[in-house]
Amino acid sequence: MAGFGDRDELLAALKRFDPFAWERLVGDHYSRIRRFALSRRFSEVDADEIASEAFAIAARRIRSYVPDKGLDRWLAQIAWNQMLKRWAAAKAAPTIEDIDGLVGTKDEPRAAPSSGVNEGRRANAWPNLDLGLSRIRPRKYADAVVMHDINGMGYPEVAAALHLGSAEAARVYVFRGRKALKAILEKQAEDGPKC
Amino acid sequence: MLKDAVSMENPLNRSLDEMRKDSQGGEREPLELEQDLVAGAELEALGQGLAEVYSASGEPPTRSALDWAFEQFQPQREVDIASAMAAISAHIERDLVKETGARSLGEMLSRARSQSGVSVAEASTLASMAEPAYRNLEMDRMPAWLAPAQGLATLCRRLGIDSDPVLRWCVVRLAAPSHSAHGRRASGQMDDAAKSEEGSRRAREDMRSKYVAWSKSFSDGF
Repeated sequence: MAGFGDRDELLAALKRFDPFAWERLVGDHYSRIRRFALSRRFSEVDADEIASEAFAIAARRIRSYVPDKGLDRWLAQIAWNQMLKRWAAAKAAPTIEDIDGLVGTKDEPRAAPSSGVNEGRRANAWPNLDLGLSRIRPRKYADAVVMHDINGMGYPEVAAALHLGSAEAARVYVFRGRKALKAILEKQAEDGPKC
Repeated sequence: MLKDAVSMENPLNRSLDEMRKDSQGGEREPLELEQDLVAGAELEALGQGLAEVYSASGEPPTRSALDWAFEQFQPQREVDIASAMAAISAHIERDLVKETGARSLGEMLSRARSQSGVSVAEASTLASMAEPAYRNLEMDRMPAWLAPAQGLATLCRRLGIDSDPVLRWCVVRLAAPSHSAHGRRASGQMDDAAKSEEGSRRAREDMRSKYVAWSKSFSDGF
């Protein structure tokens, strides 16, 4: 397999659909994407499907790829979108529980459908939180918050991932990380939108 | 400035290794939780809000989530690159059929030529090819990378075809198994089969190298 000196050279070759470059990309990232799908409870067969779909979509979009987040996270984002689509499709097929939910019962009225407005507001709130997370010191508290609140891992998993020794330590780190984040966000609010 | 750049370092981009280094370093601090139930409830709500905002933000998965998945979720079987490439190629082909409405590069060229009212003779002239060779290209009897790169780029521009689908069709064709090698193996002895396999592998590498040189020139023609 031909070598590629640096990331720019690899990217240029990917954009020309150089099969050696694509083999390199697949060799470097396919397994990671597949395991990421497995970590989200997809079967081996579905994980393969999601990974190969993600690379095919990457081939279609490679020309517009902007190297701001790294190829691994770009590929993971494409794969993640495929996973969301699969979940949405699975949800679209109504189950007995869904039908019961739509009809509602006398005691329990049907839940109001999501308007999407709040989704948009929440998405707009992200840059402030992202910046806030970046400012937490020491960094290990921010890392614990990322692992627990964003990656959705339990305290024992956070402790195992960060080699913290105990779930209690992870709980304390998350607590302190959130506390620091709250203070930063309050400061941001006081200082105004420029911060 | 430097301080700002450092403080802007995003924890979403940090690898598990970097996180571990930081969590192990520094002074060991006491692990007693500050006892404040009201603050605790508020912070719990902040954590939940953070999860919701993140999932609504469209941000990619964090690097640490990917690292953790790679470490913890061992597949029952590892995938070899060749079969992964074949599966990806099948998806690319499906996408191309959907996007272009054609089942191959030749069919795509032929349709675009008809729609543009360009004759085979004109197309072959634009592509700097002899007419029979151009016909072979449209019938998928000849791979695109054997056509003159600049000429084909000129023709594609005239027909309103972007370089991207042309190159992706080429990738699909390159990933297709070599039929000639299989034919020889079926009719020959085992030794011959091994030689044929090796010959086929070399021919494939050679073909791909030719394609790489061709694709550079073809892309430059746009």
